[in-house]
Amino acid sequence: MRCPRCQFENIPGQDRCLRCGSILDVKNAVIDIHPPRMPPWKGPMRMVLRWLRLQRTIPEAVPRPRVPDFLKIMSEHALFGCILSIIPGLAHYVDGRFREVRWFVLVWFLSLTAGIFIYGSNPGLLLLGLAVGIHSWIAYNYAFSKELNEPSEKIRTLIVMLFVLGIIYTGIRNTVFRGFVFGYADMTIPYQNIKAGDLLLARRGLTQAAKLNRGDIVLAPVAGDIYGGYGHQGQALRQGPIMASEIVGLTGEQVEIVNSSFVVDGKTLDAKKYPVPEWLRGNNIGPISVPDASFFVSTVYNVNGHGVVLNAGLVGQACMVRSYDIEAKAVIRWFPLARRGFLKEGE
Amino acid sequence: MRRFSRLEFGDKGDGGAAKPAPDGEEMRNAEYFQKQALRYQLAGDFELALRNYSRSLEKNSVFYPGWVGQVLMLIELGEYKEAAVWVDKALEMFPEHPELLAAKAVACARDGRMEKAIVYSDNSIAKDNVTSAVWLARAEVLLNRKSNIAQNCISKALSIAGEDGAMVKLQAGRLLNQKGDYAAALQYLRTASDELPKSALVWYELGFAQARLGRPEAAISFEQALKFHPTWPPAEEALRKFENRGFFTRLFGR
Repeated sequence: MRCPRCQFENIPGQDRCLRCGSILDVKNAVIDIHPPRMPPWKGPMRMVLRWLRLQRTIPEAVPRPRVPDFLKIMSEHALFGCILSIIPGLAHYVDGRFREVRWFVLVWFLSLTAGIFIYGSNPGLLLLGLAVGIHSWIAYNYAFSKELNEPSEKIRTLIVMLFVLGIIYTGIRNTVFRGFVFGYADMTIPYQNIKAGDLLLARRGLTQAAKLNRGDIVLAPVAGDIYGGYGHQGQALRQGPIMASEIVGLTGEQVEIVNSSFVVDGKTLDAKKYPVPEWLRGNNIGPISVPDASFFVSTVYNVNGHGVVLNAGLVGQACMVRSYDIEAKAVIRWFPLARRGFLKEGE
Repeated sequence: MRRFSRLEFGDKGDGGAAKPAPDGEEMRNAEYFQKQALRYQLAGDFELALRNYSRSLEKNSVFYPGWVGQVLMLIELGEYKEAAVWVDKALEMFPEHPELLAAKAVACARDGRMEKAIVYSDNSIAKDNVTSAVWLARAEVLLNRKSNIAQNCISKALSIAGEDGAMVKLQAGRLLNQKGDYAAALQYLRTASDELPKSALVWYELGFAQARLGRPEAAISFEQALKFHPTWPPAEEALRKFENRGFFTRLFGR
């Protein structure tokens, strides 16, 4: 039997063509004439999927924007297109293909803005990482996807893009945001409305330009953890991480800790303003003299080790910070946002 | 009347012209149900139109307009995936038929599958005996891609429409309404309303375009639609919305 569609000669008795699948004898075939119907619950789901598909629809004739000729020439070359993509979406825009990446550019912008807004915190770093990833994808999408066919080549290119953009973003951070540094508060200071875990924004220039006062919160490298048998043997403590500390004693002053309060030159300080950290409470220590170009700071250490003997020598060594080691002066409670605000000036 | 015209020869198909029954009533063959389907289609009741197309196929399973009508009604009901499946089935019987390929292109385009839509549209337009439905489908696909030549496809569809001119104008108007070109849609729908004055769908679409352009005649058009299809929810809703439009909408016309 000959197929009416493809003219293939089929074996007698066949219902459908072996080559193209057409019905051979239409008049005698048993044909289902009731069309399939869509269950109502599928409607909304399909609508969403359809909307997403339509977002990817590329118009046939997009008028190319008016841009200088050299940009157009650059955008046609993969490598230069990649360079143009340092501003996300610029190469696409020049090429009249911005619609392809418009949502990515929007998400990049939002994550970058949010990342800068809460910069220094873990979510902020995550958002900035996301921004770098999206940025590299936009550049990758424009410049390389057309020319590279092997998956391994594409992956290598993506990794290189991420690396290059990581350097660019780090460079921006070290130039534009050079004067700013962040640190987490490890102790609660009710007077400054600081709670342990708050992220503080500090400025570097202030430690040189302004004289540091008692009550200022500074970011400084403090001594490392004190464990039994280490600090009290007269050895120098390890250089520890940068921590937020409160200046209690200035150069030339005598600092004592009496009944869980700081006493400076015989005058007891307000415990709300100058709280004694947990590890020093219950001990009467001092007096400790603050040497030249140094400050006595109050901060938190890990003293859970056994055999630690808290004496004036050890506390003096742990709490003393040289003025040139001070990284920055904290000025704003940055995160959590509910308690965001400027810190009060010291005395 | 010929001598043997009333003899039965065991023909399964009723595909011939509708013959009057002995008592004068029209015979309920495939054409009859097709006409019924078209009536419901023009009244905007696509569900009933689909059922009538199915009934026309019950009478004659190789009745081509029945298959095309079913596919088009599925598209009108928003069941694009099902329409695409049904086109494939119809294509088994009517291979490479340009109208079926065009219907598949429309189903794909409305489902957001533009690459497939353009392929089917290209395929349909390359065939011989291209009808106005093929050109309208082409126009829809091109309008989705924001192409400037879609209007030329509509003009082409109208030029080859012949007796179906009113239907083509209605479809063109509906298409342009969907794509937001209300001024162009209004032109087609006005002439369509002259040629199909009893179609609720034409009046509804005309009212829709007028309402979007801020024309007060929209209310009359919706009322006309309700006159021919009473208690039609979309027309009632559109009329209610138009009459309750806000101050600024009335002031600025749209």
